[in-house]
Amino acid sequence: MTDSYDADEEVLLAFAVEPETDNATLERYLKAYPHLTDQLIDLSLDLRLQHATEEQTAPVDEAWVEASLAAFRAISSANASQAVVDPFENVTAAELVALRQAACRAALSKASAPDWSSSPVSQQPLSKPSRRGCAPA
Amino acid sequence: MGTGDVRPLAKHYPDGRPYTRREDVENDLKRIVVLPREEIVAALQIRDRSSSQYLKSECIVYLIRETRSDNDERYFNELYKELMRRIGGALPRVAGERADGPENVHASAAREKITGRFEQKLSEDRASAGTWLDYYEVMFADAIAGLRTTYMGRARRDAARMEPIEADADTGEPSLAVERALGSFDIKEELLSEDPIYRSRIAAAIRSLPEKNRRVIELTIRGIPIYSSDDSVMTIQKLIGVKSEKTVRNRRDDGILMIRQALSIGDCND
Repeated sequence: MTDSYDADEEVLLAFAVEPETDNATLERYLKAYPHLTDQLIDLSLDLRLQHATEEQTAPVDEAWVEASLAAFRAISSANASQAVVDPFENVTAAELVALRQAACRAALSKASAPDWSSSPVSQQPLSKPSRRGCAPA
Repeated sequence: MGTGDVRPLAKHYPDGRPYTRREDVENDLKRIVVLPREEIVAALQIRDRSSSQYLKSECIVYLIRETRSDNDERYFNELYKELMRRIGGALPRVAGERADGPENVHASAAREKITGRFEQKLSEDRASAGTWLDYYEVMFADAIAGLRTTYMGRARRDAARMEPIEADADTGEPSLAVERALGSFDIKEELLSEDPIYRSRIAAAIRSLPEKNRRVIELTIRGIPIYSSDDSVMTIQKLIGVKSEKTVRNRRDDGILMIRQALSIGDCND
């Protein structure tokens, strides 16, 4: 339903910004999109009234403007968090096990290189990699 | 400050023609894109449309889309708030919108949907350049009208599912009093009046008509014939889907009468 709603919206927006909305243009749209007959007629009138009154604008409520900005920020934050992609989305369970084991081996070989017991506290890693769950491949 | 290049539009009409901005918008953009941001922010405060520094709404849409890759929050906020003021200004106020009349409720619901849709689409465009906002760089106010029609139509359809279907008084000839009241009232001519306040009153009166009358009024203004024996001719009767020519005439005459009454022009008993 959303797709057809979006497609209808696109048609109406396209008609709205046509350089000419004369009878020939209206007829072309009516023939191509007969299910939008009522909306195209409504839009045709709305455009006429819009052009007749375009220099008359009512003062806009600033609280409404600020509320819209806040809503936009909220939408953008939500979209940004949705946009985080799971890099393991298409990886099989067996591949995940192999990856985890390879990562563990790499971490262990790195961790065994320096002697942490003699290092100053500030240079030690916050938590050493655990050996648990890192069975040999 | 920009490089002086103006990004072309990417969208195409359903028949394949590419979208282009109006020449005046293109010329303004060429001048604006090289301005420092402080000057653009100052220009946003100009409300006088006749000023050479006035920023057209189409230009504001262009500018806000161009902030996609920067983090100047203050500049973005100024552009965004002015854009919302322009959207608010382009949406007609229906008389007594808060009076809970069915049409007014639809208009109010549509306003919220429009702003919500714009917020969502702008957010998407900032994340990844799309083409939906191209409409608003071509004809801002007209595209807003397109969006308004979309959402008004949906609100009416939703409401119609719960409302009883109104019977049409399509029989009977218009009374002599009605015919007298109609006189020679030409809505198309009236909408061209030099008095902007009068034009606004007519527009408000037309917007407050029942949709069945309003549609006939628009088709009448367009000069579309009520009926034709030639099936290939587009007629009002076919477009609004009624059987009788008389229904069309009655809806037209009732509509004109209601407009005249709203404007306090004449009286049936004159």
